[in-house]
Amino acid sequence: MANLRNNRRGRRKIVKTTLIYLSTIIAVIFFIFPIYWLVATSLKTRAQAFSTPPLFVWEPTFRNFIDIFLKRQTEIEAITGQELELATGAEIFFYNSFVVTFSSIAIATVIGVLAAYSFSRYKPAGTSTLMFFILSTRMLPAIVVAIPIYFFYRSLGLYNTYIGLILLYTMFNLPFAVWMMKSFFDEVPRDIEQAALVDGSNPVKVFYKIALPQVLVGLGATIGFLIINVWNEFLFALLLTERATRTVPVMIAGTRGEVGINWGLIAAIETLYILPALVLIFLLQRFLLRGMTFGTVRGVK
Amino acid sequence: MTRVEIRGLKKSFGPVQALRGINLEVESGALVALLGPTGAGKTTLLKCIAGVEEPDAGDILFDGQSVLGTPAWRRDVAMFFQTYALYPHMSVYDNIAYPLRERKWSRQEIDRSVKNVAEKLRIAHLLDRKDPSTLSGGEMQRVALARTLVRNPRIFLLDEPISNLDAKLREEMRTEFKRLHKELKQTIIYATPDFLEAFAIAEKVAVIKDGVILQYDTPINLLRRPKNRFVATFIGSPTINIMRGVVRRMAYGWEFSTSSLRIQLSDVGHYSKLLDGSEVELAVRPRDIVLEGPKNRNTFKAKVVAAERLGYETIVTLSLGDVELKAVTKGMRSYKYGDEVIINIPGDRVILFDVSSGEAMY
Amino acid sequence: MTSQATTGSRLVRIFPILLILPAVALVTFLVIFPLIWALGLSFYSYNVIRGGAPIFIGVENYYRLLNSLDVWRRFVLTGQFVFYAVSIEFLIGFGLAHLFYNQFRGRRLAITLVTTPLLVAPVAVGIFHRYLFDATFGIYSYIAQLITGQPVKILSQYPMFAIVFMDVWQWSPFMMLFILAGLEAIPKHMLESSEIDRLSMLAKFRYVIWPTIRPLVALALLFRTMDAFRTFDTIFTLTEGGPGTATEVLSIQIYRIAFQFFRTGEAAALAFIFLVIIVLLTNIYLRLARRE
Repeated sequence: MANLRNNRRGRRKIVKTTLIYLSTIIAVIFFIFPIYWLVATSLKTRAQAFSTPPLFVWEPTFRNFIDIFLKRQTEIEAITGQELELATGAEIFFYNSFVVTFSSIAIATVIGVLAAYSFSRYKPAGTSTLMFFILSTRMLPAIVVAIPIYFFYRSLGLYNTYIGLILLYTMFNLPFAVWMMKSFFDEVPRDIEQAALVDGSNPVKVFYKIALPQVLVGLGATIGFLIINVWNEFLFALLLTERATRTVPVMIAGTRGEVGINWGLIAAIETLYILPALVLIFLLQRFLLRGMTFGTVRGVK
Repeated sequence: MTRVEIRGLKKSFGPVQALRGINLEVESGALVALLGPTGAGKTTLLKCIAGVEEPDAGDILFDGQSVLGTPAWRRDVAMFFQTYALYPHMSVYDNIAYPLRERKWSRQEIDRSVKNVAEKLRIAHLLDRKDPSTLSGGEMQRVALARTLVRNPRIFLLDEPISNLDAKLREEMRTEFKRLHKELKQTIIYATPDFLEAFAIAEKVAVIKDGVILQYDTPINLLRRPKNRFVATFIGSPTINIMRGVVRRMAYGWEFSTSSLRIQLSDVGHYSKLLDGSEVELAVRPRDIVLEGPKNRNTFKAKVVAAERLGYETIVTLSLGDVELKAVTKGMRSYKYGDEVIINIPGDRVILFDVSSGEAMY
Repeated sequence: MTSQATTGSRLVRIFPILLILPAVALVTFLVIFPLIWALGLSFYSYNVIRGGAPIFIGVENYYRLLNSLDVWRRFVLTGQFVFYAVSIEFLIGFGLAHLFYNQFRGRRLAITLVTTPLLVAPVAVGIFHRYLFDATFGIYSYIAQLITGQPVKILSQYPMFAIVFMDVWQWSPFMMLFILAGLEAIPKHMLESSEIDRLSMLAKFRYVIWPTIRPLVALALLFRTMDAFRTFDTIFTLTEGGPGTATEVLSIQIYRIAFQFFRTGEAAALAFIFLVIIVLLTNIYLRLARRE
């Protein structure tokens, strides 16, 4: 009798485990497939990319990745609808994206960390109002500020400049940096900093010798999200850049659906473009929820 | 050697009043204990003295000079934090050396002092440990203590420095503190929720509750002449017995009576505030109740309700009509439930409290 | 000593403000100032191409927009998109969260893989879905053909399906993360005691699970609704609002008015109407979440 019950329980457990794995596999396939297909397409020749029915088995080629950076200027121009400076390949877009991302993140991180520390530790008058205001900029639709900024930039000469784009991205990522870093600073026990004050460190030293080392992991996560944010931004890059400063997303979006374009090459460019995200998803996994909610929800174990 | 004066100190955190007018004087070189339950304001008071919290009102003086304008990092006090507050990213050695490095001591001096204090606190073997969070609670506490004691400040502030140690180590550390104080001859303010610890260490004890100092006195006075019901009940174990009744002026002096017993009070001339026929609370310490002593005016028959044998002494819970009392008697005595015993309540050892204010009536 | 003391306390007073100042300055320059300027512009008739000075026309932009059938159609379209996308994402996210609430080997990796779409650039998502949905060589079209037995041109026949599908693919994991966080916040002993009490699945959900995950679900819905409402990049790159105006949601319409027709004043007015809706939605949501 007991044996029978054990058997039944055991069988039910096997069924449950099978179901779990089956659903997990289906879920993973659903969410990973487009990315897989993108990478797969980047390894196909033009003819293979166009095959009907779609090709599941083929001999991969790295030709597309080489072509991105070699002098296939006319083809890149044709595909992306962008006129290129002199004899460059698509690397110019990556270079632009890199410059803009790196600079704006450096500035946003420094300014954001300082402000976050102040909000977290000293809670100066108006902190909650300011924090709420900063958060509300997350809800602000980009298109609403896009109109005035477009005209400002035109009249101030910031249009089609690195500095203009960097300034803009710094600003748009500042709220995130502040909220995120504040949530990490909030977790540093006050006693540790007070102990350092009593031990003879002034507030400036307490900040960089005691507080900052406690939030290094959080700082890394914050920077990771900032990279994604800036790297992925499209609307302002579209409105505010021209040949000299075009970033990757604008180039990719320029690939209009003309017949006969080389999807393999586009897929290769896109693969390179989303590569940082594919790497960062593994590093940021633990902080994903926290990052996507500005640090207000602390996340999954 | 610094004399500390605190005048009318107030501090609120939002709606919570942590300190509501603290007055305290600590003589130069004295060891004073701050005794009070959790949330009484001990930590806040120490932090105000250290300068890491800014009081809303009042003044703090070191040797007669206000230090409110002096920021914490120039106040030259050392503080032990109840949470230990070890720097998680530094090794044990660096933690202890931190205050000395911030004071630009020479490398050799630092090394000598760190090793010296580590030796004293028996943590020399831990100095190389990289990550303080891997230490046990007792080890962390001693590292934090070492960081506090490594330098020679004007004042030591110790916030429950031994509360989390096990009983044996705690006892050792109590003795250690007394010795340390004799050696250093420094002003020490020592916060603790444990009256035994306070009594063992300090010459004077300030009992603090709800942000107010209720009584600042010697241990013996706190025990014998508490100013109010809270001090009387907070100090002493088992807790002081309290019963409610009425006082009457008799020919021979004052008499306290409940429905089931009458106690004649030995009037030593200090019951000046007493009104005939008023309701009061009478308190008597369990150790003052004499079991099976010679008969006198205040001898009563009581029934044993329970007895806890603790080795050197036995705590007996007694019922006397409608009141229940605890008494302590020496040795291992075996009482059974329902046994009848004779007890004496010494009329000169009782304390009377006003029912409404809880103030002692001397 | 005294002068030292004052410099010390001055540092304490100024330090926090110094730290915040750059942030406040930048926000003022690039958000507040432009917003005020745009609000002003929305009361003018102004066309960059035509040039000339802006003409003050009061609330006429607003009046015209709110009376325009076309604008109302955009509202309805945007609302449909938000509703379909968010509710499907909620259902899938809910299922996934319950799946990953089980402990099994490879769970961590599976979660990582499933959440990958969250970090992928919207532009890449849009463009690549164009390839996947392509009528002749797209694999999704191919699968649709296998199922229905006839060629399906998803992008031209079912454009709304396409943009909802794409959004669901990218954002369901977001819902999953919230709900999973909620599930993991349920105290273990409560689940155990509900087992002992042999609560039915429904009762267990209603009395044990739901009360804990409710605030997180509310927050997830809030975030997703706001973001779906503003969606621009993915739809713009997948369909450009087409075919015709079949997927022209509000943000794309504003973009078109502002940067293709250059009716700047009108675009600013529509942008502000859009902003007001978002602010209202946020408030309604927050109030609902709080009352619950």
